[in-house]
Amino acid sequence: MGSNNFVEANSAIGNSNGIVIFPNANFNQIRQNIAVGNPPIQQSTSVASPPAGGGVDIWDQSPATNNNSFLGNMCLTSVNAPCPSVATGAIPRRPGS
Amino acid sequence: MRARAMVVAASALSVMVLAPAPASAEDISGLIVRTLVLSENTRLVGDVTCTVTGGPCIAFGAPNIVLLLNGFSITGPNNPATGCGGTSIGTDTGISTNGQNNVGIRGPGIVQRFAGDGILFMASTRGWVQGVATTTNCMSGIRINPTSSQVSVESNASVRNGAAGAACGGI
Repeated sequence: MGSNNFVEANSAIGNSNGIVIFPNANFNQIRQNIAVGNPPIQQSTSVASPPAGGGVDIWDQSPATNNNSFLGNMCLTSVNAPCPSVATGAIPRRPGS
Repeated sequence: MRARAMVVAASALSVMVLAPAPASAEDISGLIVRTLVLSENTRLVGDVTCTVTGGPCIAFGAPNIVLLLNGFSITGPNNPATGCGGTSIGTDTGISTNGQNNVGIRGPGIVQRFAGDGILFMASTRGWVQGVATTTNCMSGIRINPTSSQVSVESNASVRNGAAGAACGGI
């Protein structure tokens, strides 16, 4: 991910990682996404702990000074991101609404 | 006079019926064996199967255009059950923005079974993807390359993308 991007109201489920923010990414907004079950349970019980070899729902690889923001995402595991976060307010709106 | 009016009316009607549709969009479906470069607004009118290796299946070739998946799928050559089987190939992307600015991909539709990313924003500014499902791609379902900016990724679903141990996945 580069800079000034907007990731909103997506679902990421059963991937090796849910949402990944690259080391040089900055000023990105990640909000109201559902990222759970990353990696899927069949994989997560057979690999090393994240981030080395494993995976998480949201993985921010950038330093905090890069100003990437996370708001209202529904997630259970993360590196450098505010998870777990399972507030009901995090449910994404329907497309077009 | 009356006969002349009928001829004029008939001529006008024939023009309306026989005139080709405005050439503002391209329709695609079926098999793609080498990279398809888009130069105008494009929509799928059927499912697409892609056998391209060493490059993207579909690449944008102009700025300010849109690809409508129109409810259809774009399917790469990977195994439908295992996806990539743990091996990813970065060049084998489903859809690449290919350095074009302000291009968009709109669902509903599916991008699946590619050895690289399903959808890759490569060196693009002001792109967007909306309402697309990506699944069983070996790298990310949707990836914004570090050289891309001001991209909007909204209301998509990414399921079973990525390979174990790689810093990729859904988005």
